[in-house]
Amino acid sequence: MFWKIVLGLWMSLVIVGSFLYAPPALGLGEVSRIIYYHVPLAWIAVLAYLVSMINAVKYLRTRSIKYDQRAAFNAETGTVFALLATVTGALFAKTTWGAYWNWDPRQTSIFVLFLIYGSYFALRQAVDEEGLRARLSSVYAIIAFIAVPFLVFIIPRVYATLHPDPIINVEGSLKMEGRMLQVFLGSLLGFTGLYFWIYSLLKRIIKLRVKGETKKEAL
Amino acid sequence: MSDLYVVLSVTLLTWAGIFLYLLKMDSRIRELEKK
Repeated sequence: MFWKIVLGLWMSLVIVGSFLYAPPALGLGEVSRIIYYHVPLAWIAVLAYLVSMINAVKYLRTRSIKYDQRAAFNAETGTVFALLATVTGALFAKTTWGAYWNWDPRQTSIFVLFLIYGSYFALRQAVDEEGLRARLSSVYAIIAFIAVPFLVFIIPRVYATLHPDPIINVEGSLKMEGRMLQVFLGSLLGFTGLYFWIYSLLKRIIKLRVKGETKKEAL
Repeated sequence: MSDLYVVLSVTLLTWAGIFLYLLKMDSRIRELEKK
């Protein structure tokens, strides 16, 4: 319980810091403060998809249904966070580029990512038999994650884009001002803690669900 | 500057809502686990 309270206070501090402590970015103004939410949201989406893939691999190795359920929950979590990252990115785009959506390579690649994981959910809905659904969606989750690094990290850097440069650039140096970097890293840490809390809740729900189904079968 | 405080307040309230919801869910799950 203690670490959850610490997380609550930490994120509150990050939020206050993002508005009152960190200066606005040169050339972008106050709207640049969205970076303290937009980037961590995208990072958590990638992390959730990675954990989904890991659970998919575990399912294929053990055939324990809990791993399939964890994979599905993480895919959902990743999609929610990716959606939030897209929305915050669109808000930034409206202010700086003049339109919420203009098929920039970064925006297009995230759209493709949504299509890929949308297909994952469609696949799960289409198959009724639990074992078959788990096997098919586990294989799909592994293949889907192979696309993630390309879509999130590589393709937007290959093509010319309006999206701001990454803070770690091609020279391998950090380009963020000191206070901005402190709040940014604090936000990354806070969001990561938030994700692991959500994941621990999901694991406990799945455990209860599996226990409940086992009791039902026994009766 | 006052707009900044409005956005800050809304963000803090949103976070408070999310945090309290997760805490509530945590305690409900704990109750179910004890049963």
